[in-house]
Amino acid sequence: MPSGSFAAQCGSTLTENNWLRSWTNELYLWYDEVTDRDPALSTTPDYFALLKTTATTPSGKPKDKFHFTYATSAWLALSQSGVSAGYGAEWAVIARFPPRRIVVAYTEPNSPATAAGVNLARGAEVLAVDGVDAVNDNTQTGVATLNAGLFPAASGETHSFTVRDLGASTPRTFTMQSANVTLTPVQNVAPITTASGPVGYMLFNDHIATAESALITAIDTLKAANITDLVLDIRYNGGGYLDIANELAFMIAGSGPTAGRTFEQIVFNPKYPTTDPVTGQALAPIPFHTTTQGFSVSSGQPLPALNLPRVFVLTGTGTCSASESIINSLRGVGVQVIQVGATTCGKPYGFYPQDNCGTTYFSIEFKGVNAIGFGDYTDGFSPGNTAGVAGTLVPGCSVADDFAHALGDPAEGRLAAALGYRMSTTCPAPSGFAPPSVKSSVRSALVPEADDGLMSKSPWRENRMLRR
Amino acid sequence: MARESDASSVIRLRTLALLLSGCASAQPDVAAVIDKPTKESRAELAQAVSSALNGAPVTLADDALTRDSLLIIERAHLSGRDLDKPEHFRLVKIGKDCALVHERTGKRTTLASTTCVPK
Repeated sequence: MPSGSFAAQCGSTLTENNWLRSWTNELYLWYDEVTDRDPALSTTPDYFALLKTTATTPSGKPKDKFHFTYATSAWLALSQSGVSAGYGAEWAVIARFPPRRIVVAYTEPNSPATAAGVNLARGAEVLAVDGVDAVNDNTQTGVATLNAGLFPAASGETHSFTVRDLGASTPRTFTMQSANVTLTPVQNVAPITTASGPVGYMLFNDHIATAESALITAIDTLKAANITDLVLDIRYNGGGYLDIANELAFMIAGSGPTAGRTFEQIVFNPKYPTTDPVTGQALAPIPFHTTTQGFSVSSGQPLPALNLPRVFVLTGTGTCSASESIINSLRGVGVQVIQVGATTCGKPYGFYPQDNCGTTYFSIEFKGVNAIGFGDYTDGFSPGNTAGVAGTLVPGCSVADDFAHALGDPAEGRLAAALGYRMSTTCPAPSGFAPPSVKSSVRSALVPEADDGLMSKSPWRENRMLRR
Repeated sequence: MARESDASSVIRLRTLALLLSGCASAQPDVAAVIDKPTKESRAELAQAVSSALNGAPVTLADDALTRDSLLIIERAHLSGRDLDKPEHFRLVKIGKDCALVHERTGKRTTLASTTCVPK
């Protein structure tokens, strides 16, 4: 029976499970890989967990890594673009279990994290939160205190922190109050002087609405500097609006390789070869946008373009979704992409989240393929010299995140490797995801495989990062 | 007679149109920003945005609409590959009143507890 026959009939586990069963069969991308089980035998959360493919990728990882729910009340929450409660410090949890290692990946300007008296900066290591040892405490109450302090639920919360700043020999303690912080999605835009001409750098962290105007300003700035190459730092960019990725891809490549070409084609399961089953619209290839799409700039304004034949991208495990679309779409039209960093998350997929009875379900419904029909990068994109199991290989260098240098500093490990590769097409020894200050002999016990620092930005990841 | 009647109707309609446009031009929308945000004005703004978007809870910056007349609202949690678009609101000053205009629907909400100045 169609899912509509069971929708919004709450209170009966069987009816809710029947809705999930039908909805999955209608829209799940791999519906024909789901084992049909009796919906009367499981709770609704357990039943939903079973409604996905159990297939694995060539690397041996689950084919479907993005199957989750939200309380509908949380999913419906809105915010001013880029505004959320927090400190304006992005924590990179390099080791989740004791001895933990939590460092500042980057900060937001005009935020509690960068206010006088706090002055947090990349590389600062968190040693204690509200008096709890952040490195070693593994009690239930201790971990709860750490999570509550690191990830405040609302503005106006005050917590104490003990940190050791980069290069400092002694720790310091301060209090920080959470606030509704406005993200600055594009930061550190600057040309870097090299012997072979200026190279542009930009840190692009979030595909939010305000990024549209910020990216245009950044491209204008770098274009005025007559850059000859671009290093796009998306190591912490978990995605967002696909149109923003589309605009940036055009602004990098210009109209030469993109005119009349496909940025991305959305593909649903074989039941819907020509029509988006949710919107009812015809499935047509999405062209590269040459004008603004009305996110934070009025629609229809011509986009500037750098007209570059190649781009260097700095990536990490947090590089996900719309960020990966930039890589894939440019490769699809013959723009050379050189990847420096770690394997990306591998999410060519998307959802139309669906509410039923107070729970919003996320089940993969479509994937994006580029102009040459490629979209199978479930294992992520990996720099060409990545050691061991890798995803789709892209020319470039496997380089660990370097928390000992500021982002945009030409000496920072990934940026330095990109600049070096540009000159000699050679890489340093592959270091993959390994944090430089964690000894490799103990790393495997402390750090999840292929993880160079979990960030708390992505909804498919835990809001509460630390576990006992 | 019929022609004269038609002509006079046209004249009357044009006069009415001019009067209406005259009224409109006397109270034009002027892009505005909030000049003295207060706890009450912030709550009022959040309530107006929420009401325009089916009552969903909304988080705003404390300085929302104090520097720009455009307010962009998006999901608090983007899913990574989002095909939708954000909602846009504009603050306008109409005479002495401040009003929030939802661009997609044209719905206006007067903000009685808010003071604003032309941007």
